[in-house]
Amino acid sequence: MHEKVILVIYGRGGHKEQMRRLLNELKKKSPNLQFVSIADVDDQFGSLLHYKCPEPRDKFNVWSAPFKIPYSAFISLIQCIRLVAKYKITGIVSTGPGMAVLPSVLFRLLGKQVVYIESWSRFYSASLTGRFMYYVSTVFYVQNESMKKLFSRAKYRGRL
Amino acid sequence: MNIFVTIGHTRFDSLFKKIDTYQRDDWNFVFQMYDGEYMPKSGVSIRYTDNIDEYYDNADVVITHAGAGTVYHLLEIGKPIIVVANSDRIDTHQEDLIRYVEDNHFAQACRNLDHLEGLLNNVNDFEAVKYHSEPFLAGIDIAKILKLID
Repeated sequence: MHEKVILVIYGRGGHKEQMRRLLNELKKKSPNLQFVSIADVDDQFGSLLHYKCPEPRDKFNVWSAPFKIPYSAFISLIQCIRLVAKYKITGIVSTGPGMAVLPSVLFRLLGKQVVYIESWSRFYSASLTGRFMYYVSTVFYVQNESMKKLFSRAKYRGRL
Repeated sequence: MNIFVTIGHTRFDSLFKKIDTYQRDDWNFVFQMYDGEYMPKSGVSIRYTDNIDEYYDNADVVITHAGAGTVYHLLEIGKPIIVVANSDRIDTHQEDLIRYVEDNHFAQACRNLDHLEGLLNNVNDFEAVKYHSEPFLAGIDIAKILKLID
């Protein structure tokens, strides 16, 4: 109870791979790193407490959006309340996808830090999640220098 | 020629259907097809593997979906690849990666499945530019922002 932890949010495929690499980097700097997590897959990385949340956007079916987005938002709201009640969370770091937006807004309202890393597959166009997270996050990273044209305040420090 | 086809955690049945139309005895396919419904007929199929590097090692060329994790890894190990846009998906973010690979001549890119057979025929003639990764240096900054270290 009340250990200092971070909340990491990721999703299947590339989002997970980027989070795996990011956690490796963070563990090099902070070997005792403890974290809780939300993802649309089972825990992959040894989280203290992991919640599975459905990704709000279905990339194969655009018509399901009006049903899936409120459902996903409701689930992640409940999950965030539980996490905040149980752990002293200093902030969020996410590599996307869209399920990161609502928890990030909640944590900003609680005065917490939110770090967002725009997908490494973006070179010339912004992701929808990235466009939201640019305004929601406290620090916003891009993984390709060319993305600074779209996100002028973003930081570029290499690719995961 | 041993050809490994990988689509990561996506669905891409139209790719396998297209490959099944090829009439080439000298092309040996292995397919990683995740949760696709269409079972490819022109080679061995697996759903998923945790030892994908073994499949890469056994292949002369890898046909991959435009998933960045897969593509960067294949470029890092210097494998000849053909990056295919997954037209079965709604999102367009694959286009960014394909354009990057194409503009820098790191690999052959395929936007239209009708062109894939031609790209396979061209594998030995394509001269790829060597890819160099750009290491991520923000770990320390993020650890500080999140108060993991002082």
